[in-house]
Amino acid sequence: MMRLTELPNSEPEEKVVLVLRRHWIDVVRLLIFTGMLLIVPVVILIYFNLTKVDIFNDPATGPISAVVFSAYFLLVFVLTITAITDYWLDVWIVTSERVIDIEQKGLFNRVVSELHLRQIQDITSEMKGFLATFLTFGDVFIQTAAAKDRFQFKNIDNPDDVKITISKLVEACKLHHGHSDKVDDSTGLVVEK
Amino acid sequence: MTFPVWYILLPFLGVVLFAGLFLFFNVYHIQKFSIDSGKAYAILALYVGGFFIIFGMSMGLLSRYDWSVRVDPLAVIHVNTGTNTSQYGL
Repeated sequence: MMRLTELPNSEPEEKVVLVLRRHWIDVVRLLIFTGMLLIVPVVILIYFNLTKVDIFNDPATGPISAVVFSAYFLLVFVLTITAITDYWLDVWIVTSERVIDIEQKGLFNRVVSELHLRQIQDITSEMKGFLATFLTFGDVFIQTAAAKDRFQFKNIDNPDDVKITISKLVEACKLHHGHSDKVDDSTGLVVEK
Repeated sequence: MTFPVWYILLPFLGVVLFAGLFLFFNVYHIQKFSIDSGKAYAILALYVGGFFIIFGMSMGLLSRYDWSVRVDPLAVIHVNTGTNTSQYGL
């Protein structure tokens, strides 16, 4: 497992300030979806019970029903744990020097990108919708000078607070490293100090 | 046309292997890429424990049946020659 004290390419005195994951509402949505999938066989059983057909005690349909139900529960389990893994491995780490975006897309696609705080030019937080406003979750967009896509923290808790924290870190970082950095607009890399 | 009912265990075996493989992939990803924390170990325990609980319950359910019975998928139930349906609890 990855230790926060041993981040790859970490600089001396670099400290982890924030570790962010998507809001817990995403887990609730997943559990509701799983619950709905689990209700399906229960509804089928209730239906057969009402029609007085015992599908588990018939010598022919019994084994078939048992196999179908067992396979169904195993597949729902696999689907659920894969979604949990996807949730758990989507992480944004903000340190005193950089922002690291780790995005797991399914089981076999993983994207890790990082951005130095000096490159950040604009930070935007956004909360859209009733639920997001009520539970205070939303997105944070980080824009650099480069013409690359913006960094996006998706569905995180308290995006406004995160935005303020990152803004303070950017200011502190620029004070620490000096304002004279020249950034290459095409790559977003610091070319001169 | 009849076939032994245990034939349907073959696709089930495929599902079990598929689920086991995906359990392995999920455990591998959490173990390799997760941030080291107690919660990550709890998730691993949930995955492995959950799989074996569901698998164990399935085995318990499947062990109740006589898998040597022959069935006719197109018509009514047929049991092995010379046997009576009453022996299967009907």
